[in-house]
Amino acid sequence: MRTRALLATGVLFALCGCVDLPEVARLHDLAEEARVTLPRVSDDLAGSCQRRAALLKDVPADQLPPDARALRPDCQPFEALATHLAADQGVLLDYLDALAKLGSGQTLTYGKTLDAGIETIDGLSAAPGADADLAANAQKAGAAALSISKQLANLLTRRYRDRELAQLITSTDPAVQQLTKALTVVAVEDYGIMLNSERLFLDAYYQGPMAAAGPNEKLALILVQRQYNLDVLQLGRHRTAATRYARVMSRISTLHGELATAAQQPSGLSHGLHHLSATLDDLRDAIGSLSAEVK
Amino acid sequence: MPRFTDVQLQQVAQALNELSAQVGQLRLDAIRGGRPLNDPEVTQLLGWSLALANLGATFAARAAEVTLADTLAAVQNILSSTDAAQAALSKLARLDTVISIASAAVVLASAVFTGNPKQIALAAKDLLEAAVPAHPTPSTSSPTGGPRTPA
Repeated sequence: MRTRALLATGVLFALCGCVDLPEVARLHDLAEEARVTLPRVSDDLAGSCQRRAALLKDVPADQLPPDARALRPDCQPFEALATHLAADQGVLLDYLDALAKLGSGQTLTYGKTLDAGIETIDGLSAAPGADADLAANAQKAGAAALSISKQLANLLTRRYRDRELAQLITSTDPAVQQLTKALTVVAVEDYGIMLNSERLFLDAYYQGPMAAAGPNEKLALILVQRQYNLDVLQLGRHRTAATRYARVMSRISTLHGELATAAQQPSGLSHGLHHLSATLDDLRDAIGSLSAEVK
Repeated sequence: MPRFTDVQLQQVAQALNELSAQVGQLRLDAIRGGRPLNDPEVTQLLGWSLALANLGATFAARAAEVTLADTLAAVQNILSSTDAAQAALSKLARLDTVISIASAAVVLASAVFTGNPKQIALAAKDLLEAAVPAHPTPSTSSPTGGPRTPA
């Protein structure tokens, strides 16, 4: 899955973008923001494990069974998983950024050459002091070249490039759908179970001493209860973040699905994106909402 | 050979977390009943509760690569024994039996990682046997009453 996405990104970057899709260009900023916020969730797969380990470390030795060392969570697999997820997310965001660049003409290598060529031709035709005959011929040649170039540019921007990009979006869509779905499952299901386990650690850590507190320990009990509530609240924020992470993935999936649908329209990609603005707004809101939760 | 599905992994992981919560609650009840935090049985209960929670957290990741000829039968076996354990724990007062059930559940979860169906079946049987004497009519129903169907 990851390899396929990487390949798709590589191919996209290699293309010369000549498509005018200003809405798609918005993906650049969104991808940049997501690049900061998404890892805060995926990194916490390791974070949750480390918090369990920290809680266990703070339990007095005489309250633990003799073989307590076996209870220490092994966080290395989760650190490896978090790294893997970060790479997967990175590929997805690179791909979205590539779409944005193609949509805004930032990587129009061939198009820029063409534009430069047109400028050169224009400049040559208007060069002061040029030989009258040469200037006339140059103007004629230039005009013809200009006309061909403009036709070529039209062909490239409105037909060939559009279709080429459309083909890429269509062929990449299954990988994008698969990637977003997989990341959602990890965040909601796997990470969700981990947070449930962390809650069990929290309950065991706090509730035992609270239940054992004597009547003369009222102040200590209040302080412990407050800290317990804060930790439970923080855990709830991680849970909310996971839900919002899944929402971001869902919006990316929807967005790319719409791009793929538009890409299959006979009229071409740029004519089939009527709803893209609203979907991009949804994605922006989803990323903003996640960003607010993980600050 | 097939692997466990995502849903099957989640079901078993959730069952382990539920068992952990029950063992943790019985530890709390014991403390509220006057047992000190360093009472040997209370410390054992904390240990098994945390071990089950650790297994719940890691189960999906660790068991995802396990291949079995019949994953559905294995999951049915695991869930019916964990259900019986939960039913038993909900009615138990004897801490030594709670400890026996919790330890058998940990052995069962660990057996899954071996990918050995015989070992899994044996561990599931041991868990059932730990639960049944304490709960003569073992239920295969979920805590909500309906039968739990492995995916």
